[in-house]
Amino acid sequence: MPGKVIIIIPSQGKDNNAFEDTARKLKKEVYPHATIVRTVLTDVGEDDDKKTTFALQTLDGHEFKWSTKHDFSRVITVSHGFMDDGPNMAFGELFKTNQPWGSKDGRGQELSDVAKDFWKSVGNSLNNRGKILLLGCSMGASAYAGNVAKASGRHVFAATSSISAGDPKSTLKLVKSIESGHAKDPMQDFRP
Amino acid sequence: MRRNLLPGFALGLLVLASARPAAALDRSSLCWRDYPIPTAAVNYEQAFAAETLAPDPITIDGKAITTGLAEKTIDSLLGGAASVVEGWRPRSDQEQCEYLLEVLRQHANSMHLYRLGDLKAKRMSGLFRAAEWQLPGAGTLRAFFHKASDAEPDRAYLFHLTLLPVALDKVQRRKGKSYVLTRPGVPRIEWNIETNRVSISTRAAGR
Repeated sequence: MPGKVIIIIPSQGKDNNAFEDTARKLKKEVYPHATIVRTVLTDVGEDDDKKTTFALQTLDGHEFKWSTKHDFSRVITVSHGFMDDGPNMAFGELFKTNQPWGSKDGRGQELSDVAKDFWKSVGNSLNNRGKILLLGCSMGASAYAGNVAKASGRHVFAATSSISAGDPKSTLKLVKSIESGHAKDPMQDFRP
Repeated sequence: MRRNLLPGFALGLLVLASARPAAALDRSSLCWRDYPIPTAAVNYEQAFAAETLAPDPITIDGKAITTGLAEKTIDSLLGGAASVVEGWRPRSDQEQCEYLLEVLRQHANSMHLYRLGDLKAKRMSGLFRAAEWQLPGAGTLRAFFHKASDAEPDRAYLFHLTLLPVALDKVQRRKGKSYVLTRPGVPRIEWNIETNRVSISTRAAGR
């Protein structure tokens, strides 16, 4: 099984406890050396200039930065999500955007600049055989997962339809299928 | 049976939507967004007790009703003709996207959000219809049909299953690795959350 692993979960929005439960079970049963980090979204600016920024924190509250981290084998997101703008890190909240690594202008065709930078950082922190797993609904149903693969330069596994990422049992089955080399439907491998 | 019929307000909106001239794909429209309206996180137990589900497939005494089947085939599987909810109407892919958004407004939870989101990605256009069947002792099955043109066969693309409500504490999760909910009594009804399959059995258990 892979060595150093990062599992990213939301700290805000509905179902975040369910996603944390899935992350803890992934660490216990599949990735014993995983570090779980939470996103914290914040809106800055006023009215039309308002933008949503994100920070990453470990479960004990320390800041997490990609720049000082290397040689990961997996980076995994566990959250709500959808086909055009990827992981939703604050489902049901009213930030300017709840999908901090979404597409340019929300059109689903190409990644925003923020998203490109983020996934490029993730790719740089992964080793050559490193993979990204996007656990959530339908992030492989349109261009998103392929764009993440392109930006990160790494294989990306994402669902082409709905999955229950907040349900540990079914999610572990999907993850184990990926780790055994035979990704179970609806998870699909997107190559860089 | 409140949930068996779309409220008149929604039907009015749907008629208006279908009466508009065909429009080009408008990516700025709300309906194309990943999260077009605020939706509640679905509580599967609560949904199974008293809300409308969007399963696929539904098996009734072993007979599988799946998306892709024609209305006549479902008629024969269920042993009776459907009642028409909406007759055949033309819609462009933009209008169908708006229609799915109206359906989502009626069932504003994450289960419908993701199911309808998968459907809008197919960008269906052509002719659309909805029909429903009463399932004795179980509830109502509504099917949404599509055909690309008059000459093409119709196919179901979405089901709404509204079960007769039961108290929340009557819904139980079956032991085992799979996420399967059960309801007591006859007919026996199970919902496998992972596969989104609802199984209805009118035969006594342990036959």
